[in-house]
Amino acid sequence: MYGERRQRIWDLAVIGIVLVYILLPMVVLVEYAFAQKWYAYQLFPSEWGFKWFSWVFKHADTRMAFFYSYTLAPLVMLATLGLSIPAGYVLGTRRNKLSIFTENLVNMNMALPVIVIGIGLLPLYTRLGLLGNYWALIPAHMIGAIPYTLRSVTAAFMQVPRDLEEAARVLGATRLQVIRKVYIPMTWRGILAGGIFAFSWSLNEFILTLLLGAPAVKTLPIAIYEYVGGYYLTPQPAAALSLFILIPSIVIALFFEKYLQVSLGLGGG
Amino acid sequence: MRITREDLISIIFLLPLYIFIIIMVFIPIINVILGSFGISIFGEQVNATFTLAGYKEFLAPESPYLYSLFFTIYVSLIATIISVLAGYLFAVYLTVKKPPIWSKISTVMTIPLFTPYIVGAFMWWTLLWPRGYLSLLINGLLMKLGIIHEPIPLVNDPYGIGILFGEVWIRFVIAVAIFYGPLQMINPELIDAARSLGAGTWTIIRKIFIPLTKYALIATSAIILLATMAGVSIPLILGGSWPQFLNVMIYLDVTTRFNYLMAYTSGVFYIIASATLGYLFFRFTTRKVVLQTR
Amino acid sequence: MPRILLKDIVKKYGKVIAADIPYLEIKDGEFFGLLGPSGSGKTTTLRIIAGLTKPDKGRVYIGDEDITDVPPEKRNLGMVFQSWALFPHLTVFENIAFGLRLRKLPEEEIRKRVKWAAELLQISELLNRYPHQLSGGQQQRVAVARAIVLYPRALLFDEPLSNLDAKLREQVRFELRKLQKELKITSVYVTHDQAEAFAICDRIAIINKGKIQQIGTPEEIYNRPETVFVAEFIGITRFIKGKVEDIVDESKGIVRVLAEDGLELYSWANLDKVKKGSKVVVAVRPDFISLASKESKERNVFKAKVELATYEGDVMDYEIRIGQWRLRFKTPPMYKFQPGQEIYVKLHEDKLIAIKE
Ligand SMILES: Nc1ncnc2c1ncn2[C@@H]1O[C@H](COP(=O)(O)OP(=O)(O)OP(=O)(O)O)[C@@H](O)[C@H]1O
Ligand SMILES: [Mg+2]
Repeated sequence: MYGERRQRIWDLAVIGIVLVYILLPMVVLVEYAFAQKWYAYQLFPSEWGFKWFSWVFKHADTRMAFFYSYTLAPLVMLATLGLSIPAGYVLGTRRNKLSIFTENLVNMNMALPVIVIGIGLLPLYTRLGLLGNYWALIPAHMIGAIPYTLRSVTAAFMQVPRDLEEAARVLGATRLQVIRKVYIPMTWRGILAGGIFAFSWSLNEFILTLLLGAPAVKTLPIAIYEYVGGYYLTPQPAAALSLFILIPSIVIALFFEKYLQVSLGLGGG
Repeated sequence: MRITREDLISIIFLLPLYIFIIIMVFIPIINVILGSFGISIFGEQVNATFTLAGYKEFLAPESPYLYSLFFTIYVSLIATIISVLAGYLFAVYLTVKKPPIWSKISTVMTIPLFTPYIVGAFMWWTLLWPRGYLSLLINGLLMKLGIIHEPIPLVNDPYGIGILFGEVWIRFVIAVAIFYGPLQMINPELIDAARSLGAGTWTIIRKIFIPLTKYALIATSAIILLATMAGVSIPLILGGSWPQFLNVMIYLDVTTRFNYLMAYTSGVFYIIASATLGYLFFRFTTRKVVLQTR
Repeated sequence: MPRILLKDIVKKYGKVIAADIPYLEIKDGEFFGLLGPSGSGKTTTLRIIAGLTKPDKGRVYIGDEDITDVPPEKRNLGMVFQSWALFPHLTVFENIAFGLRLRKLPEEEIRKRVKWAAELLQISELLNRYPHQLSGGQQQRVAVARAIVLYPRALLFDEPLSNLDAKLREQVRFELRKLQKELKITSVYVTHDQAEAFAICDRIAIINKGKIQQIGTPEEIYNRPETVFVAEFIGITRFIKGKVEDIVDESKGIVRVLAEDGLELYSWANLDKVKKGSKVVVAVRPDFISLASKESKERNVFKAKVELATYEGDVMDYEIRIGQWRLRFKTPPMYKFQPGQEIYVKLHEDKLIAIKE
């Protein structure tokens, strides 16, 4: 019918514009990353290739950035989960005053700008001689990750029916069996989601690493920043480097949508 | 009061979290607040005597910090208004028209949520710097129309245009994601009822959607404003050399100017701003975000 | 008040036919019911009239005006929804005044009309309350008041009583009917509750899978269902299958049916549809059957065997068997037959309905 078709055309137009708006910057980023030869007077590159990718890998600095980024992220994930699982268990299964208070406290932290925490930490790290220390970046990355991870883990534990644990114990299950048979099957999705949040957060974390880690420890976001922030007028290497955190981030986003049915904003300050 | 075994487990399980928060959040915040008065816990950076010099400098008539604060609030407000408005309208569009293709491509919309800010900022830089496509397009258009006579900078500019582009890109998607839920919860028969009573689309938005989602609107505006004011990556990469966002000032104060007193003082203003906006957010999210009939 | 006319309406959702109505006329001032099981397309039909759903094909008229392309907000039809759809952020007064304010009427006129509608529905004391402070019955009245206050060209109801408890529902039925007769507004009433439709409506259309099965007054539908679906829908559960042997009485429409097991019986039939040799099912309701004496030489008297007897207080409910056909039959409680007992019953030929298969 006429009206129906006109509506569909409208839909296509509106959603199309939004899609172009969302995707255009990425398309251009990819263009920059693969532009091998591109003179200032040209609208499009005259030669495509992997030059900037190999250029990026030639630098020891950038190679180390890969190493730092992709080893810190899993460590931050494990540490955040180590903190969040016991806490989330308590918050999820016992809804008392202490739990509510703890949740509010953690939420409050979320509202605090990371840069303010960063400059407050700076003298502490200096005092303890932890500036530029690889390991000391783990707790720094955890600050922003904990609220999300904890929320996800808490929600997972909340889904476990209260009497299920008791019922299992009555039926003669040991504590270990209760964990294996009741808690793990019911909470692993939430815990996995929380862990991946922490991973993704660490990968994206920027300002605290810049304040507390650089120049000794430079992660990928710092490397990108150094290429662009210094008004470096050849953005191609930065583009090539960006793809190495953008693509994993997108894969993670798709993974969340498809398999965990959760989506939440993330970003590294 | 006796401590039961249960309480003990709760305390033991929560203890690491509390220790972490105290060391990694409380101590830094206290450090910033005391530091703004010249009192230093860890020595070194500031003199150990009480002083109001930081605040005096911050609030002085010609103060660059005050100017930065206003610039931050001003640009963030514009970014918030644009993204909340556009996000709200788009979410309403999806709610009212229910376009069938939406379900197939909604995942694409989540990409900016997962894009690192630094990469997002850089992507917009590539579009907006003098050789960027958007810059060529907009400047070309404006010159053709005779509004300007030579290209204007759209990034690293003194007006915050670049920052706006970068912020809106990310915040728009966040706004859509947050508004979509509460709007879906509105009884669709309310919309039909309003239409049968003679309301057109705009009247429905004005008289039904907005009143029913006003708490979501306030709460979302608050967190988006807060996030925009607090984020460093985007103003650092897309902002100009002057005026700057207050958080960029803080960053430069501690890394290049070594003026900790002013960094801490500016930090206190950030704490105040985030406490206010955070309060708004939590107040209206704990309240029912959507009034709803059965 | 004008009539409503649907012509050649088709609406499909994917492969599901939600509405397929070649012709439907709802007369001026009539209270018209759309009755059918869940998913039969009642709401779809109503929404097509309201303009909230666009038909794939066909035209909708009010009076002589073709309103197919008129958007719902310009049709001036009052609609009462299943959830009543009161605006939760507005008081009862503002809910009722919503449409009036959109029409920019003077404040005084708005007050007058809200007062009129509120008095008509006896909700004058509730005007300052919010919807969540009202009971279900009160909300329903507000929804009706909000619809009639605009003096709509027609009123459309989509199961407005399904959220009320059974007792209240029966009371409100009569009030709705009274109101409609008083205002003489052409009304369309959607429900899946047969008793409700029968109590309220002047005429009813029975819908199944988007298609109208039968249109008629409640009596016509109750006494003369035209399809097996309608018969079943109005509660007939027992049928005798057979073939028309003869047309016995043209004027009264009586036919002789030979059942599959050789039983021979007489039944009423719509002779426009049923011909000699037609395969038919004969619908038998408990009240089509009465006791007969063994000696009776009348037509349609059969020997029956009691299979089951249930005492239900004011009646006895029997399951009886005639040949291979199991039928239900009720008597006053003073008759008490035992299972296994043989009795004689008469099937009233003018009530039995032979429906073409
Ligand atoms: N928006 C829609 N999208 C897809 N299918 C729909 C839509 N609306 C209705 N249908 C389908 O059309 C058919 C008729 O639906 P309709 O709502 O008209 O039924 P109904 O008679 O009102 O049922 P109920 O008594 O349950 O309200 C159903 O099979 C339904 O699933
Ligand atoms: Mg319906």
